[in-house]
Amino acid sequence: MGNRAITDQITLLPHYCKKIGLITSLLFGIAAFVFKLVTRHSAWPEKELFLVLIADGIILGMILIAWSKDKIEDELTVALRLKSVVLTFGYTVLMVIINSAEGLTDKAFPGILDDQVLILFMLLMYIVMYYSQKRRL
Amino acid sequence: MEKNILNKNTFLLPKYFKILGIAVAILSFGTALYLAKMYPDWLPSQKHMARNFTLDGLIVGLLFIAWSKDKVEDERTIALRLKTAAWSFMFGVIFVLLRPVMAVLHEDILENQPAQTMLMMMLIMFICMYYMKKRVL
Repeated sequence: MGNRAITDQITLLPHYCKKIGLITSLLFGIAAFVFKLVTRHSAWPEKELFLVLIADGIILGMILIAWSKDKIEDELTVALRLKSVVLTFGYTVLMVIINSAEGLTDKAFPGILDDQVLILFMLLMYIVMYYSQKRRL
Repeated sequence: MEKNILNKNTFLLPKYFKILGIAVAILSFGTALYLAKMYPDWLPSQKHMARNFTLDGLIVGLLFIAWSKDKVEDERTIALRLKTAAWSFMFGVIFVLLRPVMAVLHEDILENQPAQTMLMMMLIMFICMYYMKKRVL
């Protein structure tokens, strides 16, 4: 294992998965917007479940974007990926702590974070950080 | 050259944060156990506050353990970290995606997990997988 290049030691999704992820996220994003508009005044009982399923579609698209290979994958992109993951976890912990503290001080704000919002936030943060750092190179 | 690029860009915490993290995690866990045993008749709001504080402490401790440097930090450990982080992300995503499906299958109420629980599970998974795989290297 020691003789293998670092890029060979990491299994990422093929490059075309990025496009599939982008299309999936966009489609589900548009679906969420349309669904919100259409069901604005209705008290449809399955509304909540549909919104959760739409958010799941966005998450699925985002994980494809986040973990698919770039055109050029070398040790610098590996380092950038790791840096982005470390910072994402750090910021998320900070956000969770602030959220729980706000929930304690403000009774009207019991903390909005659930697991789905957390995963969405983490994926979005990772993608934004990775690509913004890569552009600066 | 490769080692330099990787070590400069990974943004990991210094080595002593591992010991600090273990101390914080044990202290938080011990406090939670102590409070649960000594004050069983606390009001729900007090219990909620104590739970939040101890859980936040545990999360910070786990974060320090997960993202502090090892004694020897080379391209193998960096690749392993990234691989494990990707898996813990995947675990979170699969968990979130399967939840509504399970709710529909079991005709159950769709209840979201708190963000703290999810983040803690992801960190525990990262730490366990990283150290297990490192032993195999």
